[in-house]
Amino acid sequence: MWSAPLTIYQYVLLIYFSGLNLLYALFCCVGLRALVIVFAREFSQGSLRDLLERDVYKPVSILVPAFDEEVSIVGSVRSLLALQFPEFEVIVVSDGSTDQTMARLVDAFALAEQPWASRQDLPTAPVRHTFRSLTHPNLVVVDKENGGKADALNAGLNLARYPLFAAVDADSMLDAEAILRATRLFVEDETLVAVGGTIRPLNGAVVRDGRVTELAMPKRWLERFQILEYARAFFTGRAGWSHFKSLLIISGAFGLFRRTAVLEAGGFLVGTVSEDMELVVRLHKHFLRKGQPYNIRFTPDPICWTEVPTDLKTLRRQRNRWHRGLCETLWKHRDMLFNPRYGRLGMVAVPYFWFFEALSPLVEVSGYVIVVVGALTGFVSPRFALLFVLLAVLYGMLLSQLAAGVETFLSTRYPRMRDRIVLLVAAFIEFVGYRQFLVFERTLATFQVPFKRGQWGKMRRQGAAAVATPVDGPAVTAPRP
Amino acid sequence: MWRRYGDAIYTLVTFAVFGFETIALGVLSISFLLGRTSGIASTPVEGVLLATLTSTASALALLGFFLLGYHFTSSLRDRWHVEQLDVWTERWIGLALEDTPAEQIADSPMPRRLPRAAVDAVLSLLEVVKGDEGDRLKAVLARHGVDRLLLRHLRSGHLTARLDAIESLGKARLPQAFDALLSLLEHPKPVVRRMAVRAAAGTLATMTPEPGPEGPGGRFTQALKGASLQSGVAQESLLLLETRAGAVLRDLLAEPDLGDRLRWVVLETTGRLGLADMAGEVASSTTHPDPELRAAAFRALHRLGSVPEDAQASLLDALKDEVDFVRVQASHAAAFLPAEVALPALEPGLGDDSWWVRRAAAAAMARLGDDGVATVRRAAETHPDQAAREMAVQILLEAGALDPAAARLVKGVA
Repeated sequence: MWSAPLTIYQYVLLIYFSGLNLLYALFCCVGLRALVIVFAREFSQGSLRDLLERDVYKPVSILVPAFDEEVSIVGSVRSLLALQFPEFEVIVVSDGSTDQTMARLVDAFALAEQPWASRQDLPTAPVRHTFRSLTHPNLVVVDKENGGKADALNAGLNLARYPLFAAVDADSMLDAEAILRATRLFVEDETLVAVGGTIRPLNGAVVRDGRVTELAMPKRWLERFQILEYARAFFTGRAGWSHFKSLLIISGAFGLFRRTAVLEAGGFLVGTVSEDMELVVRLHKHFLRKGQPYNIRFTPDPICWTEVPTDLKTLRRQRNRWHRGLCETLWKHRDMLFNPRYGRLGMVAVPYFWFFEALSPLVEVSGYVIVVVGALTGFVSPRFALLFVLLAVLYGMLLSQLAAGVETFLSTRYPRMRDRIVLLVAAFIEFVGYRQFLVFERTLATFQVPFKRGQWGKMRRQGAAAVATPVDGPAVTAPRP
Repeated sequence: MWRRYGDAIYTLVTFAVFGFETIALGVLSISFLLGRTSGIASTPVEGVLLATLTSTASALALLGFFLLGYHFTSSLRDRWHVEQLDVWTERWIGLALEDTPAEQIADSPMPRRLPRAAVDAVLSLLEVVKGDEGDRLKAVLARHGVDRLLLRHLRSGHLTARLDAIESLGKARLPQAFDALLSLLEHPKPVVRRMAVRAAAGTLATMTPEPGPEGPGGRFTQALKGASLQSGVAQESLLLLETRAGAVLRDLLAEPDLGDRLRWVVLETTGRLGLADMAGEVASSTTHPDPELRAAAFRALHRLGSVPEDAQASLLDALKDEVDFVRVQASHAAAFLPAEVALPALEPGLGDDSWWVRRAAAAAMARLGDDGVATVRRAAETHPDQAAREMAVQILLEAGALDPAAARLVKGVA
């Protein structure tokens, strides 16, 4: 009785497997091509220096939403204030923090409360106080009632003065030239409304005065696997989607947006756990409906460093949230699925995210089940099943190795040969246990979507001091674990 | 940010690996589908699966060995290249500072074909060294045929080689490459056009001026007019012209058939370069029918720090323009009118519907000396509109004309 449906499902799995891997291969190739042609050559160091000297830039407002970030907030703000960029303001929005976030900021930057004539472009939870730094005139801090990350970003947007704004997580650090490299794209393309940068794990790095000055491999394999995951996601996947003008995700840790475009689209959506992806999808939708030319790009160059989870519990929560966020956004914009009105986005990108991202954990888990049950009941030859699983694993390793390879071509690669070899080895062993662990969590998250809508879950932060190696910097003081 | 050594080979290897894998996966999928009759796990299908597995494992091994090899060789090469760069930079600096005339440099003892580090070192120096010293170094490049080699690469079928050549020529600023670079402004690939226009502009900045449309400036102007470039790129190239920018901008503004987009770029660039003697030419665009151009003209005047007398009337009109961003830019520029003319014209802006106009008006008034600050202070206390009072307070705080503690006592602002 079960034979026919099982056989059909087997074919579905096989086609799914082939389709997914072919798409990955395609993204890898186009992503790599963009890196080699555009980012290695056109945006060289020399041309950037010219840009800075010739006054070709658009000023930027950097928005930093913060909720209970007492561990990392001062270091992050210091690193932002030290950016190499001629004209920018940093707006930190404490979203009803219950810890010492505000006190640390007041002490570190000599904040003085003052009234503020802000616009009310977007509705937000009430703002309690606004402060300006007496030591850094371009630093503004807003203390508001809790309303969530999106609400905090909207409050920051109401204060932002410049045509571009960057949304940066409070636990992240930007490369000194990150804003310069990202804004350059806006100079060159007036239809550009958003740019997503590359995020790299901070763990293990040497941090000096709020800057990552040298890379070193973290000691835990859990963190090493995430280095590889980030490289795979950013250097291949997003670069590929961006090439096809169908980028749906700009990481909340660092993205640069045209302020008027975001205001036109209605700002960040409150009450979701993936305000970053939701905004990007809404921007696409908004401009496609208006029939107005626009562009949303990924750029591998502006690099943002972020602390990745060091323990399984935090990693589980993070991935659970990411997956729920993906599903929430896709569901909210379900009218785009196979809708020709949205062009390649509706016909390719959105279906891809539905079938190869949102539903992939379910397909993967069912694949494991079918292989095991099939082999045990004699429905599938154990030898065949083993070969197939091996092929899937090898293909995954190939993609991970490619990501490790792209890291090699970054000028800020891991300087120690041992670290680079460890990264190559990680590409092989992440498939034993780690990947299955994440698939399980994402499967769980798929079923939790209706019940945990908008719930973030507590993230355990250690701060740069704990995950990186501090050197004579005021931002970080504790020893490396 | 990206290492150029070996990257093109790595890309080719990756393309080859994934190309082959695509074929293998395609064959496997077809075999699965055709194997329905004999069962998915039938021997022929299993054979294809095994073959695919073998090819993927081989690809993995190939890529792995390539990367391992690259790690070792690139580390060695990086060290060696840095050492060589130091050696050559020192040698070039010595040569550049010698009293030997450029023509006699040919007799200097040098290898016939310059190594890569030597070329990289001289190109880096040429980015910063100009005048006679720069000419000496350029003579070395010509003597060793580097200029001819770069010009040949400019026509290369490989995009990476072509882009590398454009970048090198941009650094070297060789007059003999100028026309070749200009011809690339018609290239179908935008990345080539963008890099070529920057390199050509940098080169023009160091060339001897020749008036007229046949001179390098005239040829650049015509090429720029005909090129399909984004506004930002055109603007960047004009800024790279340095001291030659004024003549080119003037020529462009005088062109009767100049497109609106390029006119906007010229106005922006004039303002950014602070070419105060061009205020008269800029002022003629303050009455342009396109609001973007009117705003650009006022922004330029604001940056130039002067408003010609014949533009005052249009500026005062623009403070009441129906388009808010024109009112914003006009308000900024009004800070350079005489206070007795500007203050009464700016004051209504404090009660404007647009937050940006209120801010620009208050900021401009605060720049108009003691009278201006006093007017803003009065507005902070007595203006009937709370939004105007708040803005006045904020501008006074930003200008350091009001203490934050005192600001909270101002009527209606808390």
